[in-house]
Amino acid sequence: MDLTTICQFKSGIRQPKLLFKTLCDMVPEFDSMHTTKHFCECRITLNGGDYLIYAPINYESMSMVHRAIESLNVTNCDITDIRILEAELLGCIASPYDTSIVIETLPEGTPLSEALYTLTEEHLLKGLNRLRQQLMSFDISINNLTPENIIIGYDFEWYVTRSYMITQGYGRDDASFSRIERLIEKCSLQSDEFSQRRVHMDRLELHRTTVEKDRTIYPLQDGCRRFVTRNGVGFLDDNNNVIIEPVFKRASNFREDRSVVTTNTGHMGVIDRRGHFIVPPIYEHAEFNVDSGNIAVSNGNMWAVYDYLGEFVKDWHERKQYIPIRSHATPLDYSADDDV
Amino acid sequence: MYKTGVTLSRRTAIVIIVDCSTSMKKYTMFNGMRIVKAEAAEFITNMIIDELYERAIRFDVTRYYYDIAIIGFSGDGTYSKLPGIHDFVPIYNFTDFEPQPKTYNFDQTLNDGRCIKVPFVIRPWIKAEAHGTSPLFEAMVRTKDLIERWCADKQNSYSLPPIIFNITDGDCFDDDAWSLIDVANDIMTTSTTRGKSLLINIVLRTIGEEDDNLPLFPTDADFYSTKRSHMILLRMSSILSPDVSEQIKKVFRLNHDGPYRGLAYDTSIIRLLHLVSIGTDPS
Repeated sequence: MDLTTICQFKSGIRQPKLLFKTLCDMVPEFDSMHTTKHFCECRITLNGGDYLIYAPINYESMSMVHRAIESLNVTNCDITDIRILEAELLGCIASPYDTSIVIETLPEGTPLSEALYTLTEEHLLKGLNRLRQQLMSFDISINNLTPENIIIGYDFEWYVTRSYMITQGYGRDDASFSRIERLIEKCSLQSDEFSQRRVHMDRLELHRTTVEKDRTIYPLQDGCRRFVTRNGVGFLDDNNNVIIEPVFKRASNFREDRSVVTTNTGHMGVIDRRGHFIVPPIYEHAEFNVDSGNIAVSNGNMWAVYDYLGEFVKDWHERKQYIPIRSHATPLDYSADDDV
Repeated sequence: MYKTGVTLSRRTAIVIIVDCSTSMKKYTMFNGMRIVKAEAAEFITNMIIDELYERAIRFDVTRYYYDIAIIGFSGDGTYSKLPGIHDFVPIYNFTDFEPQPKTYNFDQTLNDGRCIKVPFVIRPWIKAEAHGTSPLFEAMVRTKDLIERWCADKQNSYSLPPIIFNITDGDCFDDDAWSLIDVANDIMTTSTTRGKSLLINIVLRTIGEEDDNLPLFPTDADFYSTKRSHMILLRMSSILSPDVSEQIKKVFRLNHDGPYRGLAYDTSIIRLLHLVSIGTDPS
């Protein structure tokens, strides 16, 4: 049974030469590691190409991938390139058996979630429609279609990533297509605006993760780029000027001019793009709900809610029932009630 | 052990009972290495918590999927091995006392025959301890009270039932065996609307005292030991459902058929974590 632990996968990523069979020369991007319901994933570079690799952490994960690959083979679909490397991660203490790893080619380009803000509505809707046609002609469904999982290549072709949920039969992505359409209408530039602002494709550079000698800079979101140094996390503007020094232990990307930060003392608060605290960093936990604009904070079992401007809207109360609010999640982040 | 996965509205509780008595100073074979049992227990516990912690993180936010308690027992009585005033600590609060990662080096013989030293970087949430006697009964009573309160809490009534791991060397049965079995039964019958709690015993055996006849995940029919402590532990372990027994058979490549008891010797508890389906939704 192909199954591993996050601990084993992380150990492998730290020392690929020891624990990976064929991916031993990979250069991993540690900060890109994250966990979803089925996989722990990491972006890697190998022989000049970019890939996403996935370690199965759920015993249903690999059968899902097998089904996806079979669907792609049957339909001769080339919208993605996903493969299984059998017994790739060598067994060790954290998980005694060799585990297969899933690898997916990451096309050069920018995720739709970021291109939404730089390309025109017309262009994006055309691309989305083309993708829909492709899925229809191949008679497949992606089942995991989010703006984060669509890459617009520099050749303007649209590719799909995290394609491990593909199944045969078209039609199960309708709701996702509608959601993305609405997002495009809401976020994208109108044609005149596009020419006025002289947005060129080179701006897409801002939407890639850049690793420099002493810092890693993350893609532009909400007008800011998060960067991580040894000292902490800070923010840059779109010309890569420091606007908030790297003084935080953790910080989420800005959404609607709000970022949830954790200070070096471990307390959480919320800042705006000038670095001013909207909610002071004195709480054990803070969550920003981008829909309502409210910020829930907690100390122990006691909860309170601030509004978007930092005024108390609900005073301290004991938690009766945990009501999850949408936090600073990215589009890849599934619903708040998503399984672990 | 669940057919559904852990979610924010369907959390679960994990209790890890760690034997911290003097007998844990004895040596055991752990992953082919001779180490003190207390260190093996420390490593296993830290690995479980680390795995749960990692699984709860989504894009820098730690989601409230688990309440975790770690109960140590030794001559000084029973105590929480986590900081704080309450036994159960929500997983998101672990961020507050996140320790600096520690590197554990293990010799590892790979399947291709190479022997390498593999460093594992894990946060040392708890430290190894070994002193005093073994008040297991008190630890079980504390656990029973704890999970009864947790299950009785209205906000947990739709949560998945607690899972209890008892990590011990088995040298702790000075008490009346029936009292221990009774309290273990109380734990195993404590339930939420979604099912009964699961009690899984992990036994770290002393070098030189291994009994080769002890099967991994025994069934009542095929288990027999002359050691009283093993027989007691068998009766203190939950009987695993047919679905889970099937998974165990596959993962551990067992030859005998279930239903198995939640009792394992010197095994990687991480495998158990997979089996209890924490964070999965097979449906």
